[in-house]
Amino acid sequence: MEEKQLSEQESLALISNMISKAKNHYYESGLGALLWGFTNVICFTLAYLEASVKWFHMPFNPFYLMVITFILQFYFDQKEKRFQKAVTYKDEAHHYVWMAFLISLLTLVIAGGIAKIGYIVLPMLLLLFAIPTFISGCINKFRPFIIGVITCWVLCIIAFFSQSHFTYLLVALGAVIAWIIPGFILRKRFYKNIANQRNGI
Amino acid sequence: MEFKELDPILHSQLRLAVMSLLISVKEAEFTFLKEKTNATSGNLSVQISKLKEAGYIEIIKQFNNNYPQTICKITPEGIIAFENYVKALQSYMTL
Repeated sequence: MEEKQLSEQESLALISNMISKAKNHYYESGLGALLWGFTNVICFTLAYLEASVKWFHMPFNPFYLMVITFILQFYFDQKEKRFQKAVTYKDEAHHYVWMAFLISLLTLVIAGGIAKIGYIVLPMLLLLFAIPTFISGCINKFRPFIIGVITCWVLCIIAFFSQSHFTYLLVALGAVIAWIIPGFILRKRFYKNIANQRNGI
Repeated sequence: MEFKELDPILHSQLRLAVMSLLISVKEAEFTFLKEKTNATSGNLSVQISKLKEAGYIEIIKQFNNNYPQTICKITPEGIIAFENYVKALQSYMTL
């Protein structure tokens, strides 16, 4: 871009063009979705095995693994910051929505586990999964998240009626459809964007 | 009808492009501005220094995971100046 004086029309066109470029900037690596998707699948599958297989016993509550994922998420967020060239107001809102979700998830899982409120916590978890995923899916117009959310709502209804150790598998299935599959799609896009940037496309 | 004078700091192509980008985001790296404006590093550096001197943007130089980063943010004065510039432009356009 050369340095030149602009006419009024040119100035307005330039402002509009630059605002549109910044508005379309979208950063999402998919790592968070994959990390939490796999954590939930592992935790809920272990919980299912513990509840249904007599000889299977975990030395600790499998849901405590979520605390490790919380720390890993923080570590990866710091590491990936170098790829994020701009922080939009949308990114900031996303960050707070997901942070509120993770704290709520940990609170529900840990406090619910200690209080032994039983299987009723599981459909509530599926509802909780749906909220930030729905917001992210709608704001970014990312269809795989929206499909995942609809699946979570359907699984939630089934979970309210099933109320057995089988419900753990419904939550694990919800995590696969709402996070792991969209996470892989986002990851693929992320690597493609990096490759395009390196090739100057 | 009174015509508002166009801010000479903003009334230049690259500086206006940078301000338009920065008003749309919370903060942006130098490389982001370079990529979106297609400017050369040297020219962009000169222009963002002028915006900084005018108090319209804030420049933060830091290291992230051993990578040097130059982060630019619009200041409250910059937002006011940009809004006034757009209003002035609109007043010319309604002629």
